[in-house]
Amino acid sequence: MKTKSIVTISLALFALVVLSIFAFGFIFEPQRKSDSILLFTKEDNLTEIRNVSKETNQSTIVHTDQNQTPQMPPASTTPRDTGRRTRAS
Amino acid sequence: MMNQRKKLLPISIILIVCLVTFLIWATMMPLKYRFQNYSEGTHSVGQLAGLLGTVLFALTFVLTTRLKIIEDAFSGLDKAYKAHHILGVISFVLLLFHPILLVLNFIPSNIRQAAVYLWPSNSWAVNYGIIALLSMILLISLTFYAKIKYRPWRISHKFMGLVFIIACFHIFLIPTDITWSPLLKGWMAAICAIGLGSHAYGSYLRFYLKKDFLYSVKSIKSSDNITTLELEPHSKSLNFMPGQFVFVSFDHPGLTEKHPFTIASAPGRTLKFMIKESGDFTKKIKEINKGASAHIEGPYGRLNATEDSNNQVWIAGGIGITPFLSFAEATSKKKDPPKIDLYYCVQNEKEALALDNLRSITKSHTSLRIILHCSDVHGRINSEVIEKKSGPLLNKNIYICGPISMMNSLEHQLIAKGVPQNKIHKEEFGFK
Repeated sequence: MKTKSIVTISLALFALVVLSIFAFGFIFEPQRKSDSILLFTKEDNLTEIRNVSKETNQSTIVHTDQNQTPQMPPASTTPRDTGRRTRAS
Repeated sequence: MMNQRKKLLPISIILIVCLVTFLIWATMMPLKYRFQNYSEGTHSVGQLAGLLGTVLFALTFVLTTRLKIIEDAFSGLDKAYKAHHILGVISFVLLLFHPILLVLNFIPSNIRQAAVYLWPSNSWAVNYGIIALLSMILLISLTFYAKIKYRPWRISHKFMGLVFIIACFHIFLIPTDITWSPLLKGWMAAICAIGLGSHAYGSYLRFYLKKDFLYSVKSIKSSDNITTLELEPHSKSLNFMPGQFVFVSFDHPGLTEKHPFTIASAPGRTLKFMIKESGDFTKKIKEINKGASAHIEGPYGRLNATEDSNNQVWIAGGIGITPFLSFAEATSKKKDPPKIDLYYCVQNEKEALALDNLRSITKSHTSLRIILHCSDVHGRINSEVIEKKSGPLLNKNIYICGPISMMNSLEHQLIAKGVPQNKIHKEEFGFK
Protein backbone atom coordinates (compact mmCIF):
# COMPACT_ATOMS: atom_id res chain seq x y z
CA MET A 1 0.00 0.00 0.00
CA LYS A 2 1.32 3.42 -0.86
CA THR A 3 2.30 5.76 1.95
CA LYS A 4 -0.20 8.36 0.73
CA SER A 5 -3.05 5.85 1.10
CA ILE A 6 -1.89 4.97 4.62
CA VAL A 7 -1.77 8.65 5.59
CA THR A 8 -5.20 9.32 4.02
CA ILE A 9 -6.87 6.36 5.77
CA SER A 10 -5.25 7.25 9.11
CA LEU A 11 -6.26 10.91 8.87
CA ALA A 12 -9.83 10.00 7.90
CA LEU A 13 -10.09 7.56 10.81
CA PHE A 14 -8.58 10.08 13.22
CA ALA A 15 -10.98 12.82 12.07
CA LEU A 16 -13.95 10.46 12.29
CA VAL A 17 -13.12 9.29 15.83
CA VAL A 18 -12.21 12.74 17.20
CA LEU A 19 -15.24 14.46 15.65
CA SER A 20 -17.51 11.69 16.91
CA ILE A 21 -16.08 12.04 20.43
CA PHE A 22 -16.59 15.82 20.36
CA ALA A 23 -20.08 15.47 18.90
CA PHE A 24 -21.24 12.85 21.39
CA GLY A 25 -19.27 14.30 24.28
CA PHE A 26 -20.11 17.97 23.97
CA ILE A 27 -23.38 18.07 22.02
CA PHE A 28 -25.42 14.91 22.43
CA GLU A 29 -24.45 13.74 25.92
CA PRO A 30 -26.35 15.75 28.55
CA GLN A 31 -24.23 18.19 30.55
CA ARG A 32 -23.22 16.57 33.79
CA LYS A 33 -23.58 18.31 37.07
CA SER A 34 -19.98 19.40 37.05
CA ASP A 35 -16.97 19.00 34.80
CA SER A 36 -15.06 17.20 37.45
CA ILE A 37 -13.37 13.94 38.23
CA LEU A 38 -13.81 12.20 41.53
CA LEU A 39 -10.45 11.48 43.06
CA PHE A 40 -9.68 9.35 46.08
CA THR A 41 -6.87 9.72 48.52
CA LYS A 42 -6.21 7.47 51.42
CA GLU A 43 -3.78 8.87 53.90
CA ASP A 44 -3.43 7.25 57.33
CA ASN A 45 -6.87 7.05 58.83
CA LEU A 46 -8.33 9.81 56.72
CA THR A 47 -10.68 8.82 53.95
CA GLU A 48 -12.20 11.48 51.82
CA ILE A 49 -13.70 12.12 48.43
CA ARG A 50 -12.48 15.18 46.58
CA ASN A 51 -14.18 16.91 43.71
CA VAL A 52 -11.50 18.38 41.44
CA SER A 53 -12.54 21.00 38.90
CA LYS A 54 -10.95 20.45 35.50
CA GLU A 55 -10.96 24.15 34.75
CA THR A 56 -9.34 25.44 37.93
CA ASN A 57 -7.65 22.25 39.13
CA GLN A 58 -8.92 23.18 42.60
CA SER A 59 -10.14 20.34 44.79
CA THR A 60 -12.90 20.48 47.34
CA ILE A 61 -13.64 17.80 49.92
CA VAL A 62 -17.13 16.46 49.28
CA HIS A 63 -17.12 13.55 51.69
CA THR A 64 -15.04 12.64 54.73
CA ASP A 65 -15.53 9.56 56.79
CA GLN A 66 -12.79 8.19 59.00
CA ASN A 67 -14.47 4.85 59.58
CA GLN A 68 -16.11 4.11 56.26
CA THR A 69 -14.28 3.46 53.00
CA PRO A 70 -15.97 5.42 50.20
CA GLN A 71 -17.56 3.54 47.35
CA MET A 72 -15.30 3.35 44.32
CA PRO A 73 -16.33 5.41 41.31
CA PRO A 74 -16.97 3.84 37.87
CA ALA A 75 -14.00 2.28 36.06
CA SER A 76 -13.58 5.26 33.76
CA THR A 77 -12.68 7.51 36.67
CA THR A 78 -10.89 4.95 38.81
CA PRO A 79 -7.48 6.25 39.75
CA ARG A 80 -4.51 4.30 38.49
CA ASP A 81 -1.96 2.83 40.83
CA THR A 82 -0.91 6.25 42.11
CA GLY A 83 -4.41 6.93 43.33
CA ARG A 84 -4.79 9.79 40.92
CA ARG A 85 -6.10 9.81 37.40
CA THR A 86 -4.31 12.41 35.34
CA ARG A 87 -4.42 13.29 31.68
CA ALA A 88 -0.99 11.77 31.46
CA SER A 89 -0.10 10.20 28.17
CA MET B 1 24.96 -12.36 0.74
CA MET B 2 27.22 -9.64 2.15
CA ASN B 3 25.25 -7.05 0.18
CA GLN B 4 21.98 -8.38 1.62
CA ARG B 5 23.38 -8.18 5.17
CA LYS B 6 24.50 -4.60 4.54
CA LYS B 7 21.00 -3.71 3.36
CA LEU B 8 19.49 -5.11 6.57
CA LEU B 9 21.87 -3.21 8.87
CA PRO B 10 20.03 0.16 8.97
CA ILE B 11 16.64 -1.54 9.38
CA SER B 12 18.11 -3.64 12.22
CA ILE B 13 19.44 -0.53 13.98
CA ILE B 14 16.03 1.18 13.77
CA LEU B 15 14.30 -1.95 15.09
CA ILE B 16 16.81 -2.29 17.95
CA VAL B 17 16.24 1.35 19.01
CA CYS B 18 12.47 0.70 19.06
CA LEU B 19 12.95 -2.59 20.91
CA VAL B 20 15.12 -0.95 23.60
CA THR B 21 12.42 1.70 24.09
CA PHE B 22 9.79 -1.01 24.44
CA LEU B 23 11.90 -3.07 26.86
CA ILE B 24 12.62 -0.09 29.14
CA TRP B 25 8.91 0.74 29.19
CA ALA B 26 7.87 -2.90 29.65
CA THR B 27 10.24 -3.55 32.55
CA MET B 28 8.96 -0.54 34.52
CA MET B 29 5.83 -2.44 35.47
CA PRO B 30 4.86 -6.08 34.80
CA LEU B 31 3.00 -6.35 31.52
CA LYS B 32 0.17 -8.30 33.20
CA TYR B 33 -0.68 -5.10 35.09
CA ARG B 34 -0.33 -2.92 32.01
CA PHE B 35 -2.79 -5.12 30.13
CA GLN B 36 -4.94 -6.35 33.05
CA ASN B 37 -8.17 -4.98 31.58
CA TYR B 38 -9.56 -3.01 28.63
CA SER B 39 -8.96 0.36 30.31
CA GLU B 40 -5.33 -0.31 31.24
CA GLY B 41 -4.68 -2.08 27.95
CA THR B 42 -5.79 0.76 25.68
CA HIS B 43 -3.97 3.25 27.90
CA SER B 44 -0.75 1.21 27.67
CA VAL B 45 -0.98 0.80 23.88
CA GLY B 46 -1.59 4.57 23.64
CA GLN B 47 1.51 5.27 25.73
CA LEU B 48 3.59 2.90 23.64
CA ALA B 49 2.35 4.50 20.41
CA GLY B 50 3.46 7.89 21.76
CA LEU B 51 6.90 6.63 22.80
CA LEU B 52 7.65 4.71 19.58
CA GLY B 53 6.18 7.50 17.43
CA THR B 54 8.56 9.97 19.10
CA VAL B 55 11.56 7.65 18.65
CA LEU B 56 10.83 7.23 14.93
CA PHE B 57 10.16 10.97 14.58
CA ALA B 58 13.65 11.63 16.00
CA LEU B 59 15.21 9.07 13.65
CA THR B 60 13.66 10.75 10.59
CA PHE B 61 15.86 13.77 11.32
CA VAL B 62 18.98 11.59 11.51
CA LEU B 63 18.27 10.31 7.98
CA THR B 64 18.29 13.81 6.47
CA THR B 65 21.72 14.84 7.77
CA ARG B 66 23.33 13.66 4.49
CA LEU B 67 26.23 12.30 6.54
CA LYS B 68 28.48 9.81 4.76
CA ILE B 69 27.84 7.18 7.43
CA ILE B 70 24.08 7.42 6.76
CA GLU B 71 24.54 7.22 2.99
CA ASP B 72 26.87 4.22 3.34
CA ALA B 73 24.46 2.44 5.69
CA PHE B 74 21.53 2.88 3.29
CA SER B 75 23.59 2.30 0.10
CA GLY B 76 22.70 5.71 -1.30
CA LEU B 77 21.24 9.02 -0.24
CA ASP B 78 18.09 8.40 -2.28
CA LYS B 79 17.43 5.27 -0.20
CA ALA B 80 18.11 7.16 3.06
CA TYR B 81 15.49 9.75 2.00
CA LYS B 82 13.08 6.95 1.08
CA ALA B 83 13.57 5.47 4.57
CA HIS B 84 13.02 8.96 6.03
CA HIS B 85 9.72 9.14 4.16
CA ILE B 86 8.56 5.70 5.35
CA LEU B 87 9.66 6.26 8.98
CA GLY B 88 7.96 9.65 8.94
CA VAL B 89 4.67 8.06 7.89
CA ILE B 90 4.90 5.29 10.52
CA SER B 91 5.76 7.87 13.19
CA PHE B 92 2.85 10.08 12.09
CA VAL B 93 0.34 7.22 12.24
CA LEU B 94 1.55 6.18 15.73
CA LEU B 95 1.38 9.75 17.05
CA LEU B 96 -2.03 10.28 15.43
CA PHE B 97 -3.50 7.33 17.29
CA HIS B 98 -1.65 8.04 20.56
CA PRO B 99 -4.38 10.36 22.01
CA ILE B 100 -7.22 8.27 20.58
CA LEU B 101 -5.94 5.12 22.26
CA LEU B 102 -5.56 7.03 25.54
CA VAL B 103 -9.22 8.11 25.56
CA LEU B 104 -10.61 4.76 24.46
CA ASN B 105 -10.95 3.72 28.11
CA PHE B 106 -13.59 6.43 28.59
CA ILE B 107 -15.68 5.04 25.75
CA PRO B 108 -18.56 4.23 25.83
CA SER B 109 -19.14 4.88 29.56
CA ASN B 110 -18.10 8.54 29.64
CA ILE B 111 -17.75 10.09 26.19
CA ARG B 112 -17.88 13.60 27.63
CA GLN B 113 -14.75 12.82 29.64
CA ALA B 114 -13.04 11.63 26.45
CA ALA B 115 -14.01 14.88 24.70
CA VAL B 116 -12.72 16.99 27.61
CA TYR B 117 -9.48 14.96 27.52
CA LEU B 118 -8.87 15.81 23.86
CA TRP B 119 -9.82 19.48 24.17
CA PRO B 120 -7.22 22.13 25.13
CA SER B 121 -7.27 22.96 28.84
CA ASN B 122 -5.25 24.96 31.35
CA SER B 123 -2.65 22.18 31.40
CA TRP B 124 0.11 23.32 29.06
CA ALA B 125 1.80 19.91 29.22
CA VAL B 126 -1.26 18.52 27.41
CA ASN B 127 -1.70 21.56 25.19
CA TYR B 128 1.87 21.17 23.85
CA GLY B 129 0.91 17.68 22.70
CA ILE B 130 -2.24 18.96 21.01
CA ILE B 131 -0.35 21.80 19.29
CA ALA B 132 2.43 19.44 18.14
CA LEU B 133 -0.03 16.91 16.72
CA LEU B 134 -2.15 19.51 14.90
CA SER B 135 0.98 21.15 13.44
CA MET B 136 2.24 17.75 12.33
CA ILE B 137 -1.10 17.03 10.63
CA LEU B 138 -0.84 20.38 8.80
CA LEU B 139 2.76 19.83 7.64
CA ILE B 140 2.15 16.22 6.58
CA SER B 141 -0.97 17.33 4.67
CA LEU B 142 1.14 19.93 2.85
CA THR B 143 3.57 17.18 1.84
CA PHE B 144 0.96 14.73 0.61
CA TYR B 145 -1.94 16.83 -0.67
CA ALA B 146 -0.92 20.44 -1.41
CA LYS B 147 0.53 21.04 -4.83
CA ILE B 148 3.01 23.63 -3.67
CA LYS B 149 6.36 24.39 -5.25
CA TYR B 150 9.54 22.75 -3.97
CA ARG B 151 10.98 25.80 -2.17
CA PRO B 152 7.87 26.70 -0.08
CA TRP B 153 7.38 23.01 0.68
CA ARG B 154 11.00 22.66 1.82
CA ILE B 155 10.66 25.71 4.07
CA SER B 156 7.39 24.34 5.50
CA HIS B 157 9.00 20.93 6.10
CA LYS B 158 11.77 22.53 8.16
CA PHE B 159 9.06 23.46 10.69
CA MET B 160 8.97 19.76 11.60
CA GLY B 161 11.90 20.64 13.85
CA LEU B 162 9.72 23.13 15.75
CA VAL B 163 6.95 20.51 15.97
CA PHE B 164 9.47 18.09 17.47
CA ILE B 165 10.59 20.68 20.05
CA ILE B 166 6.95 21.27 21.11
CA ALA B 167 6.43 17.49 21.28
CA CYS B 168 9.51 17.26 23.56
CA PHE B 169 7.90 19.81 25.94
CA HIS B 170 4.81 17.59 26.02
CA ILE B 171 6.84 14.43 26.65
CA PHE B 172 8.94 15.78 29.50
CA LEU B 173 6.36 18.01 31.22
CA ILE B 174 3.43 15.64 31.39
CA PRO B 175 3.29 13.29 34.40
CA THR B 176 3.74 9.88 32.81
CA ASP B 177 6.06 6.85 32.77
CA ILE B 178 8.92 9.09 31.65
CA THR B 179 8.52 11.12 34.85
CA TRP B 180 8.63 8.03 37.04
CA SER B 181 11.44 6.10 35.39
CA PRO B 182 14.88 7.77 35.31
CA LEU B 183 16.03 5.14 32.80
CA LEU B 184 13.17 5.84 30.37
CA LYS B 185 13.62 9.58 30.92
CA GLY B 186 17.36 9.33 30.17
CA TRP B 187 16.79 7.14 27.09
CA MET B 188 14.09 9.42 25.68
CA ALA B 189 16.20 12.51 26.46
CA ALA B 190 19.08 10.97 24.49
CA ILE B 191 16.78 10.08 21.56
CA CYS B 192 15.27 13.59 21.55
CA ALA B 193 18.73 15.19 21.75
CA ILE B 194 19.89 13.10 18.77
CA GLY B 195 16.76 14.10 16.85
CA LEU B 196 17.13 17.80 17.63
CA GLY B 197 20.89 17.75 16.97
CA SER B 198 20.33 16.03 13.62
CA HIS B 199 17.66 18.54 12.65
CA ALA B 200 19.89 21.46 13.62
CA TYR B 201 22.80 19.99 11.64
CA GLY B 202 20.76 18.90 8.60
CA SER B 203 18.76 22.10 8.27
CA TYR B 204 21.16 24.82 9.42
CA LEU B 205 24.66 23.89 10.65
CA ARG B 206 25.59 21.76 7.62
CA PHE B 207 25.68 24.85 5.42
CA TYR B 208 28.32 26.42 7.65
CA LEU B 209 30.30 23.33 8.58
CA LYS B 210 30.52 21.62 5.19
CA LYS B 211 32.46 23.52 2.55
CA ASP B 212 31.03 23.63 -0.97
CA PHE B 213 33.09 23.17 -4.12
CA LEU B 214 33.14 26.38 -6.15
CA TYR B 215 32.65 26.10 -9.89
CA SER B 216 31.75 28.52 -12.68
CA VAL B 217 29.62 28.02 -15.76
CA LYS B 218 31.89 27.17 -18.71
CA SER B 219 29.15 26.65 -21.27
CA ILE B 220 25.36 26.58 -21.35
CA LYS B 221 23.09 25.28 -24.11
CA SER B 222 19.30 25.08 -24.10
CA SER B 223 17.08 23.15 -26.46
CA ASP B 224 13.40 22.41 -25.98
CA ASN B 225 13.01 21.80 -22.26
CA ILE B 226 16.53 20.54 -21.58
CA THR B 227 19.48 22.71 -20.54
CA THR B 228 23.01 21.34 -20.82
CA LEU B 229 25.54 22.93 -18.49
CA GLU B 230 29.27 22.48 -18.21
CA LEU B 231 31.00 23.71 -15.07
CA GLU B 232 34.70 24.18 -14.39
CA PRO B 233 36.27 24.44 -10.92
CA HIS B 234 37.59 27.67 -9.43
CA SER B 235 40.39 25.74 -7.76
CA LYS B 236 39.85 22.31 -6.21
CA SER B 237 37.71 19.97 -8.30
CA LEU B 238 35.19 17.44 -7.04
CA ASN B 239 36.27 13.82 -6.75
CA PHE B 240 33.33 11.65 -7.81
CA MET B 241 32.35 8.28 -9.25
CA PRO B 242 30.34 7.81 -12.47
CA GLY B 243 26.60 8.18 -11.95
CA GLN B 244 26.82 10.17 -8.71
CA PHE B 245 24.78 13.30 -8.11
CA VAL B 246 25.43 16.62 -6.37
CA PHE B 247 23.36 19.43 -4.91
CA VAL B 248 23.89 22.59 -6.95
CA SER B 249 23.03 26.26 -6.44
CA PHE B 250 24.03 29.31 -8.48
CA ASP B 251 24.82 32.92 -7.73
CA HIS B 252 21.74 33.98 -9.66
CA PRO B 253 18.38 35.31 -8.39
CA GLY B 254 15.98 32.42 -7.76
CA LEU B 255 18.68 29.79 -8.00
CA THR B 256 20.36 30.14 -4.62
CA GLU B 257 18.78 27.07 -3.04
CA LYS B 258 20.51 23.76 -3.72
CA HIS B 259 18.84 21.15 -5.93
CA PRO B 260 20.04 17.62 -6.75
CA PHE B 261 21.34 16.86 -10.26
CA THR B 262 23.17 13.83 -11.64
CA ILE B 263 26.58 14.43 -13.18
CA ALA B 264 26.29 13.42 -16.83
CA SER B 265 30.03 13.20 -17.48
CA ALA B 266 32.78 10.79 -16.51
CA PRO B 267 35.04 11.77 -13.59
CA GLY B 268 37.28 14.61 -14.63
CA ARG B 269 37.98 18.27 -14.08
CA THR B 270 34.72 19.59 -15.51
CA LEU B 271 31.15 18.63 -14.57
CA LYS B 272 28.39 18.25 -17.13
CA PHE B 273 24.68 18.32 -16.34
CA MET B 274 21.57 17.74 -18.45
CA ILE B 275 18.68 19.41 -16.68
CA LYS B 276 15.04 18.98 -17.66
CA GLU B 277 12.54 21.76 -16.92
CA SER B 278 10.26 20.49 -14.20
CA GLY B 279 9.79 23.44 -11.85
CA ASP B 280 10.70 27.07 -11.19
CA PHE B 281 14.34 26.32 -10.46
CA THR B 282 14.96 24.18 -13.54
CA LYS B 283 13.08 26.65 -15.77
CA LYS B 284 15.27 29.49 -14.56
CA ILE B 285 18.55 27.67 -15.16
CA LYS B 286 18.65 28.66 -18.82
CA GLU B 287 18.86 32.32 -17.70
CA ILE B 288 22.29 31.76 -16.13
CA ASN B 289 25.16 33.59 -17.79
CA LYS B 290 28.47 32.06 -18.75
CA GLY B 291 30.93 32.59 -15.91
CA ALA B 292 28.30 32.58 -13.14
CA SER B 293 29.44 30.89 -9.92
CA ALA B 294 28.00 27.53 -8.87
CA HIS B 295 28.15 25.94 -5.41
CA ILE B 296 28.45 22.17 -5.40
CA GLU B 297 27.68 19.93 -2.43
CA GLY B 298 28.43 16.24 -2.69
CA PRO B 299 28.98 13.86 -4.32
CA TYR B 300 26.18 11.49 -3.32
CA GLY B 301 24.69 8.28 -4.71
CA ARG B 302 25.84 4.68 -4.92
CA LEU B 303 24.54 3.64 -8.36
CA ASN B 304 27.72 2.65 -10.17
CA ALA B 305 27.68 0.28 -13.11
CA THR B 306 31.31 0.82 -14.06
CA GLU B 307 32.73 -1.47 -11.37
CA ASP B 308 30.62 -4.34 -12.68
CA SER B 309 32.40 -6.73 -15.08
CA ASN B 310 29.29 -8.79 -15.94
CA ASN B 311 27.14 -8.21 -19.00
CA GLN B 312 24.63 -5.51 -18.28
CA VAL B 313 21.34 -3.99 -19.32
CA TRP B 314 20.85 -0.29 -18.73
CA ILE B 315 17.34 1.16 -18.91
CA ALA B 316 16.95 4.95 -18.96
CA GLY B 317 13.61 6.75 -18.92
CA GLY B 318 13.78 10.32 -20.30
CA ILE B 319 16.16 12.50 -18.31
CA GLY B 320 17.13 9.36 -16.35
CA ILE B 321 19.73 8.95 -19.12
CA THR B 322 22.16 11.24 -17.24
CA PRO B 323 23.90 8.63 -15.02
CA PHE B 324 24.23 6.34 -18.07
CA LEU B 325 26.00 9.10 -20.00
CA SER B 326 28.53 9.16 -17.21
CA PHE B 327 28.76 5.34 -17.11
CA ALA B 328 29.11 5.11 -20.90
CA GLU B 329 31.91 7.68 -21.00
CA ALA B 330 33.69 6.00 -18.07
CA THR B 331 33.39 2.42 -19.40
CA SER B 332 34.56 3.52 -22.86
CA LYS B 333 37.96 4.19 -21.28
CA LYS B 334 38.19 0.63 -19.93
CA LYS B 335 40.43 -1.93 -21.66
CA ASP B 336 37.92 -4.75 -21.72
CA PRO B 337 34.45 -3.32 -21.07
CA PRO B 338 31.49 -5.71 -20.54
CA LYS B 339 28.73 -6.12 -23.12
CA ILE B 340 26.08 -3.48 -22.42
CA ASP B 341 22.63 -2.89 -23.92
CA LEU B 342 21.34 0.61 -23.20
CA TYR B 343 17.60 1.11 -23.64
CA TYR B 344 16.95 4.82 -24.05
CA CYS B 345 13.20 5.20 -23.47
CA VAL B 346 11.54 8.41 -24.68
CA GLN B 347 8.17 9.39 -26.08
CA ASN B 348 9.59 10.18 -29.53
CA GLU B 349 13.03 10.56 -31.16
CA LYS B 350 12.86 14.35 -30.82
CA GLU B 351 13.01 13.92 -27.03
CA ALA B 352 16.17 11.80 -27.20
CA LEU B 353 18.50 14.76 -26.74
CA ALA B 354 21.41 12.66 -25.50
CA LEU B 355 21.32 10.35 -28.53
CA ASP B 356 24.03 12.16 -30.54
CA ASN B 357 26.29 12.20 -27.50
CA LEU B 358 25.73 8.47 -26.93
CA ARG B 359 26.33 7.62 -30.60
CA SER B 360 29.64 9.47 -30.50
CA ILE B 361 30.64 7.43 -27.40
CA THR B 362 29.80 4.14 -29.19
CA LYS B 363 32.41 4.95 -31.84
CA SER B 364 35.10 4.13 -29.29
CA HIS B 365 32.94 1.87 -27.10
CA THR B 366 32.02 -1.02 -29.37
CA SER B 367 30.55 -3.21 -26.63
CA LEU B 368 27.86 -0.60 -25.92
CA ARG B 369 24.67 -1.02 -27.93
CA ILE B 370 22.11 1.80 -27.93
CA ILE B 371 18.47 0.78 -28.34
CA LEU B 372 16.14 3.73 -28.76
CA HIS B 373 12.66 2.88 -27.51
CA CYS B 374 10.00 5.42 -28.49
CA SER B 375 6.75 4.85 -26.61
CA ASP B 376 4.75 6.62 -29.37
CA VAL B 377 5.77 3.84 -31.76
CA HIS B 378 6.46 0.76 -29.60
CA GLY B 379 4.38 1.44 -26.48
CA ARG B 380 5.86 1.35 -22.99
CA ILE B 381 9.00 -0.68 -22.47
CA ASN B 382 8.55 -4.00 -20.73
CA SER B 383 10.58 -7.04 -19.73
CA GLU B 384 9.39 -9.01 -22.81
CA VAL B 385 10.88 -6.42 -25.17
CA ILE B 386 14.13 -6.36 -23.21
CA GLU B 387 14.44 -10.15 -23.12
CA LYS B 388 13.67 -10.42 -26.82
CA LYS B 389 16.42 -7.97 -27.74
CA SER B 390 19.04 -8.73 -25.08
CA GLY B 391 18.50 -12.46 -24.54
CA PRO B 392 18.16 -14.21 -21.15
CA LEU B 393 18.28 -11.69 -18.32
CA LEU B 394 18.96 -13.98 -15.36
CA ASN B 395 22.74 -13.56 -15.37
CA LYS B 396 22.80 -9.88 -16.25
CA ASN B 397 22.97 -6.93 -13.92
CA ILE B 398 20.16 -4.50 -14.70
CA TYR B 399 20.45 -0.80 -13.98
CA ILE B 400 17.33 1.39 -14.16
CA CYS B 401 16.96 5.16 -13.82
CA GLY B 402 13.84 7.10 -14.74
CA PRO B 403 10.37 7.96 -13.47
CA ILE B 404 9.52 6.06 -10.26
CA SER B 405 6.42 4.40 -11.79
CA MET B 406 8.50 3.09 -14.70
CA MET B 407 11.24 1.77 -12.40
CA ASN B 408 8.77 0.04 -10.07
CA SER B 409 6.83 -1.50 -12.96
CA LEU B 410 9.99 -2.85 -14.62
CA GLU B 411 11.34 -4.15 -11.32
CA HIS B 412 8.14 -6.14 -10.71
CA GLN B 413 8.19 -7.54 -14.25
CA LEU B 414 11.85 -8.55 -13.99
CA ILE B 415 11.38 -10.22 -10.62
CA ALA B 416 8.38 -12.09 -12.07
CA LYS B 417 10.74 -13.36 -14.81
CA GLY B 418 13.05 -14.75 -12.15
CA VAL B 419 15.70 -12.02 -12.10
CA PRO B 420 17.07 -11.90 -8.53
CA GLN B 421 16.33 -8.61 -6.75
CA ASN B 422 20.04 -8.08 -6.00
CA LYS B 423 20.72 -7.92 -9.75
CA ILE B 424 18.32 -5.00 -10.21
CA HIS B 425 19.85 -1.63 -9.37
CA LYS B 426 17.87 1.60 -9.43
CA GLU B 427 18.07 5.14 -8.18
CA GLU B 428 15.16 7.36 -7.21
CA PHE B 429 15.05 11.10 -7.29
CA GLY B 430 11.93 11.71 -5.20
CA PHE B 431 13.33 13.95 -2.47
CA LYS B 432 9.93 15.43 -1.61
